[in-house]
Amino acid sequence: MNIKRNVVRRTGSLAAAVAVALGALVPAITPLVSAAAQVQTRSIEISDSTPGMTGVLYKTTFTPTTAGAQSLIIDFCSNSSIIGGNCTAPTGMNASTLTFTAGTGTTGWALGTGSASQIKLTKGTGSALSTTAVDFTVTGVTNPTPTPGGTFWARIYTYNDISYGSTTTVYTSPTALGDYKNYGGFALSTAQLINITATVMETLTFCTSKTAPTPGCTGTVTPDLVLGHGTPKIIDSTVVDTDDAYFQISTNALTGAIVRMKTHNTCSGLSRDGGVSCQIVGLGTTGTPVAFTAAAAQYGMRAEPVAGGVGTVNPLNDYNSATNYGMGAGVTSTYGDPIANTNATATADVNTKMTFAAQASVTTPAGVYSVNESLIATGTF
Amino acid sequence: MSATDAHRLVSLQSISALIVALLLVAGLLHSRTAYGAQLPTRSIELSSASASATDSYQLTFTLPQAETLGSIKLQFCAESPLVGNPCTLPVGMNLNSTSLASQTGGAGFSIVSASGTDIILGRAPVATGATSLTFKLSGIVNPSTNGSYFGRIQTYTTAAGTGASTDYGGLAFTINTSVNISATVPPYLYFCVGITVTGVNCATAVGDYINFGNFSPAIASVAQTQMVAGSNADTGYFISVNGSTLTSGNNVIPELAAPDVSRPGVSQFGINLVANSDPQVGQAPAGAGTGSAVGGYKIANQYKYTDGDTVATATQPDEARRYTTSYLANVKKDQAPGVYVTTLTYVATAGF
Repeated sequence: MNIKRNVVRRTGSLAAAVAVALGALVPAITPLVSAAAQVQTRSIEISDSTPGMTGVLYKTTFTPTTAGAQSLIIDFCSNSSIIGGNCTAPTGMNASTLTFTAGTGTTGWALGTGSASQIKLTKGTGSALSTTAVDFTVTGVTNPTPTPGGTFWARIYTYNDISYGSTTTVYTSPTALGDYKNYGGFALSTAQLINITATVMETLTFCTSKTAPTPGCTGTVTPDLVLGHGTPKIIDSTVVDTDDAYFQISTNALTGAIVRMKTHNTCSGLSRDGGVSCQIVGLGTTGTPVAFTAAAAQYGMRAEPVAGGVGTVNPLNDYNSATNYGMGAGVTSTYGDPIANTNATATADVNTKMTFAAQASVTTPAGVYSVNESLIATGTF
Repeated sequence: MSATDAHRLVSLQSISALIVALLLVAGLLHSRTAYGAQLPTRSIELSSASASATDSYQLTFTLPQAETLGSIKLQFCAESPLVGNPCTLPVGMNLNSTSLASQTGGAGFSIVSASGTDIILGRAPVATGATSLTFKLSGIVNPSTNGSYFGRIQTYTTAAGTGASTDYGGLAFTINTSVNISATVPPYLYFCVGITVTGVNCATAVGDYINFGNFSPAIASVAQTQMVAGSNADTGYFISVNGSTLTSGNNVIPELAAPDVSRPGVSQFGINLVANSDPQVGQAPAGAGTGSAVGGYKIANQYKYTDGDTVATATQPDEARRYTTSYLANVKKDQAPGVYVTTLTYVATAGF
């Protein structure tokens, strides 16, 4: 007797201490009925905690303390998990139209006639539960719609007959549980959605350089090109003279970017009168790069990808060649002539080499010829 | 059993199991004002990427759904394309003189305002389908420094960019250094003289001495030389001939001051630069160039000579041209005997 009382006292003290510690967490404290035992390792896992969400999966897992359960009831309550206490149906909850999926130990079990806040299961063609862990899933639950952070509870009771205790004392309500053998409380909660926003801003980095830029458009050299041979450099009718420049592009544009070239002259070639006229003419638009005509006064450019970076840059149309050249008439248009694109994808630190070439004829008037080519990158986001 | 006598058994483990996967921390990790849907297929295309250039900007975007569209705001920022974030106009950029040059996909828009960071295009609100819109904006002054810059688009149901926006989108564009290309074409003048020149190749010019032999009053004495000229001079070139007529001591064979035909038995000296049949001598100018004999030296079968005269010209840059000079000498019956000589110098002068 003393031992028993001591045990009771110690147990009571332990329980009280634990209750205090856990009271701040979940007030799922249940009275112990001498004829029933609490199920262990119990949980109800829901697939979506959004208040009012429909079609939610509820997976119940527990370990019966005693074997022999042939039916069970789960009552959902918004006020408490106290077994046998008053139970207020959670507002907005609807568990009346469910689909049952058996899990461990519940093969052959089937749904009974529940309600908006109640699930009933009976073993059907299955077996009575043992004392090993069992689980099952019901689909089609509509979550309660409490205020944000709303906790609600579930109470589970098992019966050793298929009709919720009808062979002895039948369940009639959450406060008249009948002859249940095992019980347990659960705490659940709906919660506001976690809104996660991460913004990636549109980016376009583009530069020109006399030498290949290093990543991030660093290490650029002003692209001043001088075409010619000899000292000082001259161009004449005997040879095509060339010089190189580069551009680098990085962009996260959804459909990539286009690079256009626009001349500051009013004509597409090289001019010695400030761009009014071009005595060294652009090679023109043929759709494909062409070779220089011997001893003809011509000007052109070609573009070639350079290895490195992420993604690709495709030279276009008249400029896509490792040997020939082009200079489309579009360089005099408002927005310039397309010379390359990023193949409709994002790129990072991709360099492209541009080779500019010119040749004079025997009748090309003496003088210094020049052009400023503006390269314009446009991303479509 | 009363509640007071009841054992209150609490399973820490089961409570923990309850908590797991059930309680979700409710809270917002990030709060963002809604600006509607993002505008797809948006771009801003510049007519020049040069710093400080006055530029045309072509704005293109697609409405994500049919909506009432009254106005569009295009904002330029140095910081980012994120609507609602701080925005500073890029240094050197100026929108004050913006004009709407054209619009497609929509109609009726005009500039409501263009100042500071914003350009607002507006019209009386109209229900608009999910369509692509393009606006060409002229007179925008580019930022004055190379780099990446941003635009922000917002659409509105109102006519002047007021109230809540319907849709939004970010843009990025760059200002960068133009590629400057130069090339020098030097001046040149290509000229040579010989008895013969093959083609227009001065490397083949040979000979510098003509021997008429013995003059006879009965027949004309003729000879020819050739010269090649070409130049890239803007105003072309001219060739002059310099020297005296045929002279022997104090005796001369008079030059033909005016073009005249060959008259055997009459003392005359003259030249021309054309093909002749009487007597048969000379050739017409040849070669890809367009230069030609001039004045009295271009008349077939007539000859002329005046010291210092221009005998051939090209009036523009000209490819190499070969001229054949025909020489004519006749003597009268009582022409004083002697060895008559002259040295003629041809000078080509190019006008650059």
